[in-house]
Amino acid sequence: MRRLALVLGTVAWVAAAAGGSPGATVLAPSVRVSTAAGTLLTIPTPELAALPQQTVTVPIGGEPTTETGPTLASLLAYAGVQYNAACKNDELRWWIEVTSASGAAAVVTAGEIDPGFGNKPAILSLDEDGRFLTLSGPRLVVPNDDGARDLRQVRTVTVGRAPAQLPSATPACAASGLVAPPPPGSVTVNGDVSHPVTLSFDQLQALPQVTQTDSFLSGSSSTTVTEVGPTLASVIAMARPKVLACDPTDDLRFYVEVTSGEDGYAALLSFHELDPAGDNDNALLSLAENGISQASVGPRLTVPGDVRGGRYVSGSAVVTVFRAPTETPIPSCRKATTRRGGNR
Amino acid sequence: MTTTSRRQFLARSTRGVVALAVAGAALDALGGNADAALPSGDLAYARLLVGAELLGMDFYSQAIAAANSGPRVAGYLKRAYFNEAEHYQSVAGILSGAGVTPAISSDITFSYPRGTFASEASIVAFASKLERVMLGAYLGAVGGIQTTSFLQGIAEIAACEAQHAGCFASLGGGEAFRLSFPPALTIEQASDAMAAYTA
Repeated sequence: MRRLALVLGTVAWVAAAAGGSPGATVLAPSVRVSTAAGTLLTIPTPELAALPQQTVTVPIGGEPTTETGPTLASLLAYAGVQYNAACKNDELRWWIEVTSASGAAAVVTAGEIDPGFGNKPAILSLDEDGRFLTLSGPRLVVPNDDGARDLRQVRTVTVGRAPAQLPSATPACAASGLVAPPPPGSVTVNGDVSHPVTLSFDQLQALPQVTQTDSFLSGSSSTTVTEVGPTLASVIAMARPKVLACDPTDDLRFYVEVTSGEDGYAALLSFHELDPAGDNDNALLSLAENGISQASVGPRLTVPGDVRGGRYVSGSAVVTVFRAPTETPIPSCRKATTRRGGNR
Repeated sequence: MTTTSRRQFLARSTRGVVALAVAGAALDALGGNADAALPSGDLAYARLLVGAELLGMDFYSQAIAAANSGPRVAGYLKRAYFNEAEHYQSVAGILSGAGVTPAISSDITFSYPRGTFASEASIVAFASKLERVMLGAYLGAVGGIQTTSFLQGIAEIAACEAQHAGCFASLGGGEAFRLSFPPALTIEQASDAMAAYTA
């Protein structure tokens, strides 16, 4: 029977499994996947090879580098992370924080790494230009990005769903919200910011305006729109995100939830996506689409470069800034107050 | 984003075939190589070798954790663990590249004869025995795997296992090498030999 199990598959071994050998010391560092509810999976680095592998070539240190490993999305699925099928585009409400052995961390959002939306299919590389990263741990690689979120020696992947700010028209998405909706056409900026603010449509119009032409898939057809409005980054800057001064890369832990006042639909962007000093994807809160004012419904979030239009949130009313939790404090911040984002 | 869970991954792997017919978004989205049909015999060998490497990783990790070996032997144990971990990554890639999920350590409970980790001598003796089995398994794979592109890597791993076998045989007071043609094990022989160490 054992022979058959070995030759034909793993079924008998799986049936006999009792969580691995007790007391075994695993020398290769493990990657822990966790949520607010606890650890979903702890897997030694070499065993990430059990997942489908993807190869990408990215510039590292100015040199093209070939990296191979499982996608972050496949690891989450393997760990059992499931989105709510009853909530349209539920995955767009989820954030993923990756933390290294040194405590450095970076956030991507589930929508951002989905090839159908942000198309930055991040991987945990096990093989860098033919060298296995067996004993150091995998490397986070974010393709189609500026490289700031490449992290060596990944140890922890933390995943969570951003709390709903407004109730959703679909109760499965959010039966209730945390804030009152602002007046139509206005936008409230809240969350991990020093100065929460509500900006009227006129105030939004008074900010520097950017015009852009965006194309994305809506269903199976391509849609092209011309949008005019302030950048999302400029709107958020007015509220002053509470970035820790002790960590020069603390901004990489931030993400932003944009919620519609029309139906409570929401989508996340990583702060790095929209940061002018980061990947600068030039997301707007568009005040006019194809020449038509959005004053009565509220601005429309644009996410240039997205494949599908899921993150183009119409009637944007609440912009919430979050800082993902600190999993491992970095040395320069150990004396600082460790703030949990309270956002899991 | 796929919602394929670990349970589903494992269920897929136990079907015994390349998951070519699985049209789920997972493989497509992940760039799964759905065209990479492998002969069933190659898949069986890959599974066997994955199991062998998991056994090797488990044994060496426990041997190191026992902390009863001198610095010289401890160094060899750590290096052997490192080698087996890289071998696992390599042979597991054969399966994952074909859309089949290999076993991981938490899928298998290994067990060892009483006293295996009691002393440096017992650890070295078991390592020597284990490495001969692993060498035989890889040599059998060299002769049995049909996909020629795998053969170079399999042969390189076999050479590494031969080094392990010679090293631990010598450390145990035996001959580092002797045979001109170390025997290959059939897939059944290797499977039976390793199955003795599963709970």
